[in-house]
Amino acid sequence: MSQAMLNEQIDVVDEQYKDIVDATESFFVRWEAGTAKIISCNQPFADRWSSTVEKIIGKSMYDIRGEEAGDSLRAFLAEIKPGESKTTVFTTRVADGSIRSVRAFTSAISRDGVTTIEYHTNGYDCTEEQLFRSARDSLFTIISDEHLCYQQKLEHLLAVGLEYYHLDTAIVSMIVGDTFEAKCVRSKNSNAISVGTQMQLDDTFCGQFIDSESKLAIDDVSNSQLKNLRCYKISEIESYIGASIHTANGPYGAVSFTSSEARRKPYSTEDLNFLQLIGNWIGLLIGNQEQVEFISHQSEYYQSLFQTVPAMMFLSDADGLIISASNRLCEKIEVDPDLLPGKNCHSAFDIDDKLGLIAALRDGDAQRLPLTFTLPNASYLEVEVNCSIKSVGTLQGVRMVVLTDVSERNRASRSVEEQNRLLETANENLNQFAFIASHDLQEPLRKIQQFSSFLEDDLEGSLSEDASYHLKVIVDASNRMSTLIHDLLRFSGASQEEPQHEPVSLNKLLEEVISELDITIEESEAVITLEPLPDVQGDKGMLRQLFVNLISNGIKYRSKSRPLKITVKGLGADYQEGVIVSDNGIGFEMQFARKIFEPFNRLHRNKDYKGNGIGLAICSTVCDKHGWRLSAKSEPDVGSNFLISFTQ
Amino acid sequence: MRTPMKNPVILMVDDDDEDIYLTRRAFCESRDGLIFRSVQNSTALFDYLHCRGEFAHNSDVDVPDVILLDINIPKENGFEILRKLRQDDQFGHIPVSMLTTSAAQHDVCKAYKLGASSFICKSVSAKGMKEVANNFCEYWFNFAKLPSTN
Repeated sequence: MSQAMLNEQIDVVDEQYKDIVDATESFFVRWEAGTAKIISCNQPFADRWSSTVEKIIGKSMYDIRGEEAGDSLRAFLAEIKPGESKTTVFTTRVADGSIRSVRAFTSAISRDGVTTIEYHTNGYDCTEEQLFRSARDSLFTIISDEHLCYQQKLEHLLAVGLEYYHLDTAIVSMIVGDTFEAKCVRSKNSNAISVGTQMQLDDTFCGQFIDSESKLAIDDVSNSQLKNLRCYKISEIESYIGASIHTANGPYGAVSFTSSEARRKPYSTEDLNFLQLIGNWIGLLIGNQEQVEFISHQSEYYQSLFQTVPAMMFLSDADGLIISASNRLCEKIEVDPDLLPGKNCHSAFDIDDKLGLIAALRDGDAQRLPLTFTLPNASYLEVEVNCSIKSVGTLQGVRMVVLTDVSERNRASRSVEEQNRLLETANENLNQFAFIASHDLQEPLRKIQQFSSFLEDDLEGSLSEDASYHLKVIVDASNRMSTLIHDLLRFSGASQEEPQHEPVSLNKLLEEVISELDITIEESEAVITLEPLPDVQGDKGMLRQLFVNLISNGIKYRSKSRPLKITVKGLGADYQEGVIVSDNGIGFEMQFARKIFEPFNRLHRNKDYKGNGIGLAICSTVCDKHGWRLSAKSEPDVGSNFLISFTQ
Repeated sequence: MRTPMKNPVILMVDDDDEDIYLTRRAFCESRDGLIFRSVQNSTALFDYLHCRGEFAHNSDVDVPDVILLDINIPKENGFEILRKLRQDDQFGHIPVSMLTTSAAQHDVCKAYKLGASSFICKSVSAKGMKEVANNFCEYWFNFAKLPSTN
């Protein structure tokens, strides 16, 4: 191929190239590396320098630029190695004085890879693109700013939109049925509608698109289809761009950016893209807020439920920091409910066992821990604490503490204890008194007995029958009194005595007792049968008294119509359960089964059966002292069983 | 059996006037010629024996052949008196018979341990007192040998 043909072809390509280049909005420029003379360019390039293609060609790149821009160009070109390219975005002031952003792609053309022959640059005004990017980033920054509350975020978003579109009013509206309500308003106009304003949907711009298009952009309403509509007539809106808003829960309403002046140029694709974007973000924000409010209401609901529960409760964390307390608790401990949350139990409660409570909260597990609050009026509130671990919402490991008022119960119990103590003391005092009294009574009684006896002796033979009888009665009475006092002494003495604890063979003991009562047994012609008895731990003296009394009773209250039989035997496996003393005597009615063990309570006259009614009372005391139970069963004229039970 | 003593001397130590009265009556009725003395407490006893104090005027003491000693005497009781008596050089040999209301075993043992020669319970009846007096005199003044002080 000849050089001429080659050149021709180059020119053709150049022309084609030029056509393409001329047809775009991008600018194109080609200049010599060494001289910086412009070889070729297109009109958009020339436009930037308010010139024409013809005038610019041949001029130096540095000439048309000016000094400062020249330096930066040089520096920029220095970075591009021969054969390589670079993209850059820069801002520049154009002919009308405005600042534009330019994205340029520059290549350093070299045939040999060493020297750059010429440079090509093509680029385009990316101002809009930059604005879009910048606004988009702002939206994101606002949404994710933790320091802003919902309302602030919403307003900031609208502000970004207003700035982007260069409009004066932004409104987020909630649309329910036919009603439009302005929820957030940001405006440079003082007479823009206020938050909360409600309108009929038909009277609004939103109403025109909300069901169908989902967006609307009119740069000049007066020249549009909407010019006759009511929404235009009643508002001062000359330019409008708006879209519907959806949240996770469904359609919410709309966002609109408006101006009272018509816009100079129509809304671009970018403008609509931005509308979409901002609409989405607003939808997301509102949706989020709805969730938050819902949860908040829920938690408010549960909070109020918790507050009003008619129990003393509080929630705390593992360290005792109070989260919430029921009203009832606050009432009872007389603390302002607002002062508790956020305080630690340690300082919030005036209690006797702070360490115990803190420990219980740490463990998260307590049952009936006793605690006493000191109230402001210096009285006390006794409670029992139950603690368990619950999850409350998103909070894990919350300690739920329930307090039960046990003041009454404790009071009653203490009262009972006190009563018992008083009773015991009274009993002791009584016994002591009885002991001492009987002791002191013995002395004068002895005198009476002695001297009446001596008197009898002195007057023997010289007394009339009546006088003799009178004296006899005195002597008898004083003797009986003596026995009574003697028994009283034994009884009250027995109550005072502490029993010994030694092993006692009841078999042996009973044999001794029978031998002791030898004479009376013989007189009564009683047959006493001893069956195997256990060995026990106890006081030998007291136990002897016990069995002497029981057997003496058996003998005393024998039947006249049959020979007396008394049996003493052990009960249960290994005879370890108890002992039973049974007879076939006169018996007694079961209604008196308890009474007979009461001291001085007799079922018969002294004339019929002698005695003071102390014997069984002493038996009962002895059994008590050994931890045994004494009871009786009987049938009149059949016999009686006296049961000593070792186990309660 | 030896020759019955002509005029045995009994010294009763008891704070109770009536007891002394009844005992004196029973013993004197039981034994003619019996000399029955009485003192009410420890001080009086040793004053009597040593002819001092309230008995300082006595030219001579009727040394008792036996002493009847009650336990329940205020201030110094029978046991203490017994102990003191047994330590007395001059009169520690005299037989002492407890004559007291208490019949408790531990009192009986204690008395004998401290050196009592016998232990008798006071009776509430006239008959009982007489029996005691008769048997006592019979044993001590007719039967048993007594240490001589003369």
